[in-house]
Amino acid sequence: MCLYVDDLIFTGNDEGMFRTFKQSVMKKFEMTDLGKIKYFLGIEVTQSAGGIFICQKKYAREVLERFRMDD
Amino acid sequence: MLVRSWKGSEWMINPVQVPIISGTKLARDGEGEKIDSTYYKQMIGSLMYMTATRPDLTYDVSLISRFMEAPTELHYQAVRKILRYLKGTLDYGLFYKKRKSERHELVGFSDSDYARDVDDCKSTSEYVFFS
Repeated sequence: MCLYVDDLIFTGNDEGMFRTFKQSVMKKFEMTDLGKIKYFLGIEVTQSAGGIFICQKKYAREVLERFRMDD
Repeated sequence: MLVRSWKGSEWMINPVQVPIISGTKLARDGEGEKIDSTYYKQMIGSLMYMTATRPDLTYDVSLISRFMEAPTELHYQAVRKILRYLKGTLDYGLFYKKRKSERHELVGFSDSDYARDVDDCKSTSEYVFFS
């Protein structure tokens, strides 16, 4: 499990275990289930049948803009 | 672990280019005028976070961070080179490939030593993920 301010992600190799975990935290705290991870702390995640791809395209664009590399 | 990019509907395998700034000899007393070290540090910090999914940037980013204390125009130009390289390789990322006829097994390891440095309490940590 990884918690950053108000963003939380979790994983595991036992589906029953993390389903129970999700139900219990959702009962205790007000939160929204956004499903499978797509974006977390500037990291984009694409999950497909072939595997998992992670990149920071959006973050990279922001860095280039901040340091005026848009010329 | 491969540096790949997603082109709408298919994976592109990208040949990772030669190290970007290794041809430039960088020394502490670089040529040129001194530049604002705060701005230089902000650029390095932003690039350090970028290495999370870009191992091809790691060497260059760690090299330029040696000159944070008193950066000059020469060091600044090296950072601009990395940013230019980044601009041309925005689609790069890490691909954790699922092995054929097996369950997708993603394995991760991490280790941390918080506040180990006795002088400034800086921490040391590292992680690796592979499939």
